[in-house]
Amino acid sequence: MNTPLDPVLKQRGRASVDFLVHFGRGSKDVRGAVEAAISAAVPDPEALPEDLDERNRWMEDTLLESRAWRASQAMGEWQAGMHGLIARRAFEEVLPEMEPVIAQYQTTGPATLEPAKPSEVPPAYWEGVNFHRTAGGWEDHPLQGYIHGEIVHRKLVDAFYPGGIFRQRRMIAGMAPRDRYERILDMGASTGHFTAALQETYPTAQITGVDLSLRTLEHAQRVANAHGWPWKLYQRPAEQTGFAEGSFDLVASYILLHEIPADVIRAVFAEAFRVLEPGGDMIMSDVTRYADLDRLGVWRADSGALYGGEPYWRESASLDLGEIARDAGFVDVTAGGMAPYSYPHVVQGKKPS
Amino acid sequence: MIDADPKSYNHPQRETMGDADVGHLAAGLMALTLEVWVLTDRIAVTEEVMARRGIDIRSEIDAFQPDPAFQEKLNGMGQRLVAQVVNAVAGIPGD
Repeated sequence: MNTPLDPVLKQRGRASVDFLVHFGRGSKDVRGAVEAAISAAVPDPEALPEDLDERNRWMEDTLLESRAWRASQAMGEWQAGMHGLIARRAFEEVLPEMEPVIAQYQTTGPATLEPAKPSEVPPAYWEGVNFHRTAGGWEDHPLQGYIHGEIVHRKLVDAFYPGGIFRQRRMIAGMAPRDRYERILDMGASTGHFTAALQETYPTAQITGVDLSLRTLEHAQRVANAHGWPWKLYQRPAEQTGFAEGSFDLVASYILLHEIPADVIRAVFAEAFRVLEPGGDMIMSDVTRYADLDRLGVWRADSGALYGGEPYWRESASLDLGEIARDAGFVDVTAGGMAPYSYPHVVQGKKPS
Repeated sequence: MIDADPKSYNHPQRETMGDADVGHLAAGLMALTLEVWVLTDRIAVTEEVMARRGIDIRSEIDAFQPDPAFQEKLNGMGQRLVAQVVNAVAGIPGD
């Protein structure tokens, strides 16, 4: 899915971004030593403390005896703090060449973007939080959407899962029960990677996307314009979209729910139900449920969230999304993790006809 | 949720290396600095040699995009360098 928006990095930026990939792959011996230390410390995961905070403390206190663990924590901290800055610096190097292209696709094409009104205050659960520990958060850099979508996602994340992050989005988009939809809402559209998967899967659909981040939506608009897709994008919260009842025949989201608190998740499902037409379908996917992991697996996920800029992961991953969907009014609800790692967890349902 | 303020996740308190690690870390850092200096010297010498022959390769290097085979070679080199450093810090014996 190459477009003129693909960045052609200069040597310093290219090698710096590549280094983050080398850093991950070159650390495999350290990861192996850490796994050996974990296996020695935890012969039976179910013997770990039941309380999650207590479990985290016990694991960290125990593993601090391992030099490989201490080194891995220092490495992880460096990567978490630096990946966004390195991507940003790589982008700054090519900004003069990319600026006209970015401006062209921001302003020319069929996609529209409606920013929030100045009077609309961002929710407290979102404002000021640097999700993924992205340097400065989603809104700090005026072209953060480009940096996140084209460099962090395409150059970094995709390097570790070649083609996988886009293949997975297309697979989830294709799981909705009908072959054809006409009016789709993507909740948490971000830079448009899942929105693109929806559009490719349902080429005749009119797609609407909402997200709290204007910077990421701006890049979604560029992506849509580069492909000639007439997306309608709005800087609005998924839990309060402002659309009329029955506006859509499919409401979807991909990996949004762990970025919002539990009460907002319930509100998002209620909003999805409200804006669906009778008989409309809902499909949402998110991170692996803690209920599908053993105590060691939960610690791994929870620790990753703690140090990875994910304040709502625990409360989100602890929810039964199927139950929440049914509480919102959906019927024919299914919920389950995709093999082989129960990731992502996919919940589907239908608004009664 | 562990902390009531989600913004605390922007800069979590994470225990990493302690006093016992400082000596190992310094040794790894100096080994890396040596390697970086050797490469910096080599690049500067390469550019100078080329310039004396009338060829300015600096801008060409800036714009250079590796083909898949060369990228693979770079990947292997990068991973080996990372492994040398992080394994030294973590106390994992080399090959």
